[in-house]
Amino acid sequence: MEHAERRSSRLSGTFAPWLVAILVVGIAVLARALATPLVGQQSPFLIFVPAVLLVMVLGGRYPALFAGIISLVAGFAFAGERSWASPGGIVQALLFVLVCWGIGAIGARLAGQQAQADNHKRAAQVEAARATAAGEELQLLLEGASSYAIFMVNPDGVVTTWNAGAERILGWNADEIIGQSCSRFYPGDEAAGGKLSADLELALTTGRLREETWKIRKDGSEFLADVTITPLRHANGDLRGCGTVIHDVTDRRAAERNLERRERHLESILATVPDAMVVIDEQGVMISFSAAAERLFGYEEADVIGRNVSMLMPNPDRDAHDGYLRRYLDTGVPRIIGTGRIVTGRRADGSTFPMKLSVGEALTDEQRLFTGFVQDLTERNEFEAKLEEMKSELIHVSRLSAMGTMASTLAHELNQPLTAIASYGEAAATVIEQPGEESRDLLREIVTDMKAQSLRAGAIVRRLRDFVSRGKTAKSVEDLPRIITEAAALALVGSREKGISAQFTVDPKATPVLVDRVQIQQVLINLMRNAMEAMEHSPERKLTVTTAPGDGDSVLVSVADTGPGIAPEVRERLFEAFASTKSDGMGLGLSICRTIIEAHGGRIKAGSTEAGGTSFQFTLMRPPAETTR
Amino acid sequence: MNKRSVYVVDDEEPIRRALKIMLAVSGYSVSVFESGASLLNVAHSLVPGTVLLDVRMPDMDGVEVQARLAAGGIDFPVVVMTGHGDFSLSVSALQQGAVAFLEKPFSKDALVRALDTAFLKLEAPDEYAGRVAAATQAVATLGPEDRALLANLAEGWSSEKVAEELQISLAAAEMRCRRLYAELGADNLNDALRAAYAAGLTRGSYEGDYLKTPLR
Repeated sequence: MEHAERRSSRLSGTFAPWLVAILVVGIAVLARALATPLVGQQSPFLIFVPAVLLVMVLGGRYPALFAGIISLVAGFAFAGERSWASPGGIVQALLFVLVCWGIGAIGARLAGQQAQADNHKRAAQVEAARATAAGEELQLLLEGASSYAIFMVNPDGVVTTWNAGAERILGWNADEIIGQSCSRFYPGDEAAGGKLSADLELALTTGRLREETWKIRKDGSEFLADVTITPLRHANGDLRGCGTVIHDVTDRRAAERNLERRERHLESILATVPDAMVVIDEQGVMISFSAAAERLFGYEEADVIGRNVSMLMPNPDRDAHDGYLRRYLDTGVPRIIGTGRIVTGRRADGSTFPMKLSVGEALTDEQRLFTGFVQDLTERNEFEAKLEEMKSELIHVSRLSAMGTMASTLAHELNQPLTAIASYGEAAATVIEQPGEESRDLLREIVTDMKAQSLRAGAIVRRLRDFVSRGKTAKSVEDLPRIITEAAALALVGSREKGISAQFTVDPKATPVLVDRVQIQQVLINLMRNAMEAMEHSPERKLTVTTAPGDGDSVLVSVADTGPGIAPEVRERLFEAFASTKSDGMGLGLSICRTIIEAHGGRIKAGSTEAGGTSFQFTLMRPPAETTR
Repeated sequence: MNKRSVYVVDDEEPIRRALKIMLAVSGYSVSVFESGASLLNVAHSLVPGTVLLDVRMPDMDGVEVQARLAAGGIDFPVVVMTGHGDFSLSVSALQQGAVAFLEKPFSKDALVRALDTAFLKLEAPDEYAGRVAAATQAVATLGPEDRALLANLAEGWSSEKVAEELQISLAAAEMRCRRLYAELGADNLNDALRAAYAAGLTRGSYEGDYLKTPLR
């Protein structure tokens, strides 16, 4: 077939078929001519049938047609003169044409089948080549997949193929393991319990088995494996075996568990942290709301997620918050981020409370988040007031003690030059009575030394004065009402319990002042605490703090109470150190007040109110810039 | 010719200088020392004299110098000088046998009186002992008010404090104190206190109610 096809293809496309047709028909003519003496004019066309058939086989349809036409002419020649007009001749010729047509039809059919067969064959070859390439690629892929163990087992679980990944993951090489049962990959108890056959059974019935389970390596170590078992069947449905894919997920799972654990840890921290935490996105929409936030604001997390955070604040912040966010996003200038600020929060029931808000910013996955930590300051304010009070007492006491130590040290130091001066004086008094040049020299020496010692004493006194007026450098321009409010916040702790009402009358013209804020607050706290103590047993307990413009550049502050007042003889010594009338007093409070006020260029005095209570008045100076003369 | 020797111990140079001049012109033979240690180093070779000792000094205070002198067998009489607020140190010094204390600054009169007592102890120990014994005797015969006053003075009360406590004028208080000294045969506070300490009288030892019911 192949041979014939090659020859026919060689013949076709040249003149050969046509020559063959002439040659074959020529031979047939020759043979008929030789036979004429025997057969005469009988069957003139018969001999040409095999000839046409031969041409058909050798040269194809068209040379065969050509041969048929020549044969028809030659046949008529053999049939005798005018045979083409005789009925017998015509019938024989028609028969011949019919036969030739039949041969042509069969030839055409055969040629079509041949071509089809050729096409089929070519397609099959291409297909086969493609399949071979794909197979090779797959083979390479399987063998190269080093992070996946891929192997086949037969229906009994015996390993039949083994890739590089399998060797890497399970530790066996192909030579060792092919032909062995894969039950050795199962941990001891599972292998003994027949899990292998159970797995294969399950894979067969469900079509695919996937599980995460522990497997054993060659060296006996275990690893967490992601296992997929898929049954593979022959075309006829018979089971060939099972394909098994194993992936070591120990590390991944550990990492996942770690991540999960840390996430849970973080969650537990956030759940227990006393500060409420609210996370918002760039639009101000809340995306997280901690348990503490739920308690603090009185909303459920589910109620607020997806809503604007401005619902947690009263106006003006409520309406302005989106603007704050936009401004930050536009300018990048933080107003609250990273610093923290005291603002007012709004609970679900509409009530408001002071809170400290600290905001952090996080940029994750192209998303900007803001995390707000909220501390409720309602209770903290009270606590801090107490703390501040204790702190100021401590400062007060340490200041007293420092002054006491300083005074003692200075007194001692002062005694030294005074002793020297006194001794020189005594010596001089003796020497002056004695005549002579020698005495005069000695006197000169004595007087020089006395002068030096006097100056030394003066220097010590100057140091004392510097110490007392220390703090001058800390003076700044301050708002008087604010100083009073802050001092009152500390001084009036516990006043409500004692039934004391406080009234503040501040003149807006009596501010600002040039003071050391802490020192003046110390004076105010001292006076207010004194007033509160003085009223302890009075029927009316009203504390009044008043400010007013004073003479010249001064401002007048008075702290008045409705207590029993001060006895005149006590008043004289009121501001002297250690002149306390209080059982537990040190008697230094008012003397320090006076020191501070005088260091500020002011005066302090005690007086009586019309109602018989005590009124302390002191003056402070306005800053020079404000001076109008 | 035979001048009395005074050994001045003070850590301050101006004081040493001034005291040296004053004592020298007053007829004493003066040696000055800048610390207790420098005195102790040479003490055994010194002619007997009075030690004028500053009570507050760095390294070694006056009371310790006094103790070391005694421990070294040097029984020179000691007069201590005190500054402000060193009363407890002065008391310790007196209790350890110092003849007197002088509160800085002091007059020449006070110094000379203290030195006279000191040299009495050095030159006529019997007479000095007799005086102390008489004073101790006198303390024993004091009335309760005087005893209480003396006990308080021994604790460091000043005349001002006495005046305040007794609600009397300062002059009256000083008068009151001088009367007490006279009772003891002493003519100043130092002698009176020495007598009080010799008699073991301090406020701690005297359980009178002087403070609770002040004399008016």
